[in-house]
Amino acid sequence: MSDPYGELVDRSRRGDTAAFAKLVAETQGRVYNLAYGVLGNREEAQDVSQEIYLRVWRALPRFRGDAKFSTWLYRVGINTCLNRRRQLRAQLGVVDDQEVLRKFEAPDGHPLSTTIERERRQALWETVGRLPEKYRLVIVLFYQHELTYREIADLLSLPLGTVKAHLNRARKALAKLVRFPQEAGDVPL
Amino acid sequence: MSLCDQCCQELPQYIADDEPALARYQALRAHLQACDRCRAYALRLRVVEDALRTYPAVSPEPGMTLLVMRRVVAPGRRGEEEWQLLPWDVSVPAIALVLALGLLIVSMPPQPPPAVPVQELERAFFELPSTIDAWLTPVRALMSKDIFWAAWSGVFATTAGLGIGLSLANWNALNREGLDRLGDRIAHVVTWVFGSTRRAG
Repeated sequence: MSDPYGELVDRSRRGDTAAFAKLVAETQGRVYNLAYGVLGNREEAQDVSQEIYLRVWRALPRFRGDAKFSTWLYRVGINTCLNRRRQLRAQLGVVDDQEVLRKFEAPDGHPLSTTIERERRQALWETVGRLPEKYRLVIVLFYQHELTYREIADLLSLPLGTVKAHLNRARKALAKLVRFPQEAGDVPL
Repeated sequence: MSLCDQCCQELPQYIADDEPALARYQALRAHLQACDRCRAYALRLRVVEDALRTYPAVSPEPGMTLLVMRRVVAPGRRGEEEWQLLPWDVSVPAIALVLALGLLIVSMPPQPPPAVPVQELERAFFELPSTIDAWLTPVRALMSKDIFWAAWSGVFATTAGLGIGLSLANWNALNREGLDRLGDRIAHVVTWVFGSTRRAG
């Protein structure tokens, strides 16, 4: 398996900090976006990203290269973000429940019902941040990180069907919020 | 399931896959042409899909590499994990299981039961409840019989159930790294113990 970061990883594993700095520079965008996608807060994302790289640096001597470095990095990243989110859950007041998805509603004054596409798009992106964790995570990995269903399933150790089901439930919940001015009545779900 | 229900089930994946011209979607396409309500739903799903496909990336603060590297080069142990308290979803079941085992050990008799010949195993098996009953006599003397059994069974069942339930609930690959770390810690302790033994020898 050819790993684009193979050489940098090898050098970093041997303690080459310059190589690790390059590795950080090349991957920090993805790590930061993953952290922001899970935590929804820039400062927390920044802090957790640093934590992720620190853990990666410490664990690199044990990295055997069975998987691609990027896959391993995602795994460390997801674990770290979810741990942090668990710690923050009480403060953020997040209820990670199927019920949230069923009763999903846009906040007051949310412009999802407007016809202005730019605003609606912006509002939908913001609403993704209010989805329950498991749905938001697959949305972020699929759309923002452009991972395949299979890669997400492997990364989260979920069956392929569950990944697709999570994505479809999230799409349905978001679609429930979209209204056009000429529409009336219930939205099927 | 009505055609509309079936359509609503299949539509999110159909739209996400760019509405493929597959034969299995023929009925769905026909229904969409005939049903205004489902067509409107498909339109909403397309809006969602378009928005998600342009889900914006955010940029990390400038200087993040520098911040990371400052922490990396700070004195610390590389290749080893820092010891830290276990999270509550691991520590609570662990403590519960330890308590349950402790309770079991406390309720054992001070002396081992007399050896039973093999031919008497069957009889001993049927007499087991009375044997256990005899073991518990000193403990039971402190409590009334009903309260003791209720408390003992309740605590044991609750702690065991809690432990097993929470462990299973958290058993997924997101914990894989944690398991790796646990393995490393065990290996570290084993190496340390055997190393110490060898040095002592």
